[in-house]
Amino acid sequence: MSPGARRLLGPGLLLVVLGVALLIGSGVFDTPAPAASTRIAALERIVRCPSCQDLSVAQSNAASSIAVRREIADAVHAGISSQEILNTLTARYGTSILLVPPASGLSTALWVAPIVLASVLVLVLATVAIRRRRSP
Amino acid sequence: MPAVLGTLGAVIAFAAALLGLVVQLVELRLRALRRTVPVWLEGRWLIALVGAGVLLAVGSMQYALITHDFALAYVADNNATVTPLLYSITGMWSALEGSILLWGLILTIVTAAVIVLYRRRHTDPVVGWATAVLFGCLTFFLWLIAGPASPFERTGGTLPSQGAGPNALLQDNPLVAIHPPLIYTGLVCFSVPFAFVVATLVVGRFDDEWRLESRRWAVFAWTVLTVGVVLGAWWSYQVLGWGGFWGWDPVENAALLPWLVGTAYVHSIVVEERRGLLRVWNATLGMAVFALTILATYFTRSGVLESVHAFSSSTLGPLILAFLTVVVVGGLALLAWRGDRLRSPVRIDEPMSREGAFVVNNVLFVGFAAVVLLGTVFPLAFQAIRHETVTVGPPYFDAVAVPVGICVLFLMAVAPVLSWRHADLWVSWRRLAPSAWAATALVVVLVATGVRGVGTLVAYFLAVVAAGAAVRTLAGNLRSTRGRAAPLWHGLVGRSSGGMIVHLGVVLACVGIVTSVSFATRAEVTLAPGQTKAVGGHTVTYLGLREVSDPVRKATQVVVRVDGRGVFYPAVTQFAGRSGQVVGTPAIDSGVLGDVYLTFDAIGQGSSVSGAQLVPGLRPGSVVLGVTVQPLLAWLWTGGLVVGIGGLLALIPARRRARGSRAAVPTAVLEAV
Amino acid sequence: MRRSHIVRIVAIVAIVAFAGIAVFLATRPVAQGATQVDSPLIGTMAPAFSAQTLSGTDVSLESLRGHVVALSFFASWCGPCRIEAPELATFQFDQRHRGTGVELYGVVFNDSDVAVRSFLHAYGLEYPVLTDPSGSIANDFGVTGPPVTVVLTPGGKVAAVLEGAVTSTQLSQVTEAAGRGPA
Repeated sequence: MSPGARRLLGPGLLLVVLGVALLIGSGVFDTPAPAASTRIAALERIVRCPSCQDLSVAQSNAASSIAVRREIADAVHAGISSQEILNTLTARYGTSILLVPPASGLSTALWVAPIVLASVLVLVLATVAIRRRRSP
Repeated sequence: MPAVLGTLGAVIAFAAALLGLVVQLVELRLRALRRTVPVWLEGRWLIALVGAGVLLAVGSMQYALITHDFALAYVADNNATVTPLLYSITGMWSALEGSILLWGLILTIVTAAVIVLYRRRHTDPVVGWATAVLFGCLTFFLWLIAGPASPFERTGGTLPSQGAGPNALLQDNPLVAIHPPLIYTGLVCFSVPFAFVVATLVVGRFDDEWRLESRRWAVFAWTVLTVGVVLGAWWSYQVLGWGGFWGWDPVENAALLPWLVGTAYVHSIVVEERRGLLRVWNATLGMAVFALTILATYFTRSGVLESVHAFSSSTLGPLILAFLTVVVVGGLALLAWRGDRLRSPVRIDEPMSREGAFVVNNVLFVGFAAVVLLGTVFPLAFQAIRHETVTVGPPYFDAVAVPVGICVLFLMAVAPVLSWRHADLWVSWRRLAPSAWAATALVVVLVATGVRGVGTLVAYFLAVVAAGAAVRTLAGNLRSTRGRAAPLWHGLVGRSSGGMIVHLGVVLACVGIVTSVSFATRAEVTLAPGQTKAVGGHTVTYLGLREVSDPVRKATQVVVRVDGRGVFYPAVTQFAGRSGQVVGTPAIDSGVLGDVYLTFDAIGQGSSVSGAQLVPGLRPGSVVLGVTVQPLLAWLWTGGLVVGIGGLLALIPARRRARGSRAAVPTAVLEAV
Repeated sequence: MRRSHIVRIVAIVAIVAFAGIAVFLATRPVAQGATQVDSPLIGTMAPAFSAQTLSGTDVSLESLRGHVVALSFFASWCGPCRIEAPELATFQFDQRHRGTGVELYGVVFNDSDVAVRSFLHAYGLEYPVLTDPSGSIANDFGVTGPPVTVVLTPGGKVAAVLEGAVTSTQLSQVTEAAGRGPA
């Protein structure tokens, strides 16, 4: 085996072992958690506690928060879609009840910006790499 | 009396600062014309008068607070006759109106320090201009204190016999004595690199000496700010009752922005120092950090970011905004004027090198800061355009912070083993291999024991490699001190070793954050007296209730035994004072392996307990406790402490390194004014 | 060697951009009193409730019919509520003095009785205050953070919802309009 190839054995083996571990670790082979509880947890994290400034209903134990949590749980068990549930809450409390603005219209700017900035990062590196390749 | 003396002090300080600015500019002009300047015409002496005025103002406020003088509106709103001495003293900065006094005091001390430290070189125009810039900042803030933001307003109407007392959340924890002063010191100290960047741009000089000085101040400011922010998070954790430590609210974000850009700055100035690169970028960053500290002041004091429910105050907003505009436009104008001549003729050789890693670091941190800024002001922009209120909260910021965090860990793992100018991949791999294998072993063990979550596992992997890279560098430094027969502690100080200790602290903190966020369990447990229940691997036993009453507070405490060992008292407390606020005071069982966080949430009806929520349907005598178990959270606070130590160690000069690796860069020297 | 002027160009673009942002921030309106919001409840019958005052009297929505009612949702821990308190005291005194028949009720928002009593005592407020231990009244009225003042017509419909600290003059104007408008 050429010395170049032999050098790749070490890191290669590590990547394989790590990859397998991460694959198992992603939970893809485990029995999936019941869909309802994951949905409930996800919704509770996005809905703001109505009587608090910044906390989600998952984090706060104010009476209104407990009431909203119960409402979400009932709605999920009744089979109502997550979007419907959010719409009902927004209609009652206004758009500020969600801890993240719905991804539509102007709010897409919020999500586009990090992607744009990540692209800038890649571009900067690419520019430096290309410049180096061009100059002797 | 304190009101008059305080205002007098503020006015004297403001006038002295303004005079200092003018005289300093005159002095600079005279020196440029090569005229001799008599000693009495030097601007720097006026700092003594500024100091006297500020001390008079601060002293008057402290006197009023300690003697509970309710003639001052600020004292009436933030102090009570029963307030203990410590919380009277800290009362000066526990509310917005008074804290500007603390800012003024620290800025005065910093300016005085600059003048004293560089007194031997005070004829150098760079020092002169830096002093002028600092006098300019002082003029602005002291004007606010003397006028629009004066904390010395009198109480209207009849004097109340009892004050409102400090905010209940601010009078139960001694951290209130440390956190705001640390944050303010960190923020204010960033004025010095700013002043020197402006000075070197104006004078047209950019040589080694001033770069090194700026770097020291920047590292000091960054270290203090980091410790301040971490202490603030620890404080909110201990006091606020929801078991978390960071809420991404506008005021928190306002202090985070200068920290993020400051992190980028302390890294990129290393590149400039070693290779003479990134000069314009550094000049921009140095000014940007300071501008962000003013932006933070603007956000916190103008009320522009509060929800619609807040009563927007002030005239203060437009004033600070005007100052911010002067700073930003002035800085950009300087860059437009001199920036192109500043650019180094040398380029980065290639991305796969230490410089490349630092560039990635910079783009990452500055980019993340931009996203945090966007998220913070987005509701404001949205309301202006759509006339609707939206909230941008943790789900957004967390979603962006996680990939950024992973990238940061990756950089910490990889950068220390990359060589300058050109890094050989194989050599770098050889240096990392031991830690990489150890990290892989850890991941395998964790997965085997049932830990799930790709993000979490990747974070642990990178954390171990990053720790390995830092330890490797430290070991190398220690070995080289032994080789030189120098005392061992020489290997622990200086930029390289100090920096690696900081990285170790960051790794600890990241592990703490990742673990507590991924594996926290929350539960509400209802307990009858004597009953025990298990939550998240720990047991809690309800032993009974206890009433506590002293001049400062009345509290109903729940006596809880955790894990059959320690006893804790989560409570509902009412603090004395006019407003009689009632707050929940959590109790925390903190350990190396995790925290058990207890709150007293509700009690069964039929018990005569003040304050806690009565829940009908709960058996009388039963209590509802909120229990949050957060593994490894203490590692976050420990990590912050290690960062602080590392930062301070980095400031102690190590043996000067060989200059051979520096690229020869001709520097043009221009004298101008 | 002719140097590029890229730094100058970028700096000037940045100056212009910043100037725009500064103008935007400087022109944000300062809140003068409360904001009247476009709540979906306006024009509809107010959600029914029945609650106890701090002194133990029972009050239901029906018992309030026949005159304009202002419901002030507040809490002792809320900063703007403290600013609003003297204004509400003035408002109540004013309405009594002019005999308009407008009634002011406070509604406790996520707070304990003890703290509320201290608050009322500190600010010398004398209007009846309804307790809302489960937060259901606040929820039904869509109140997510104090201070919020809801004004009801004599017929029991929601006439206006004001978010933020009200001033006495502002609230008088709104209650007057509610009295004149459709029942």
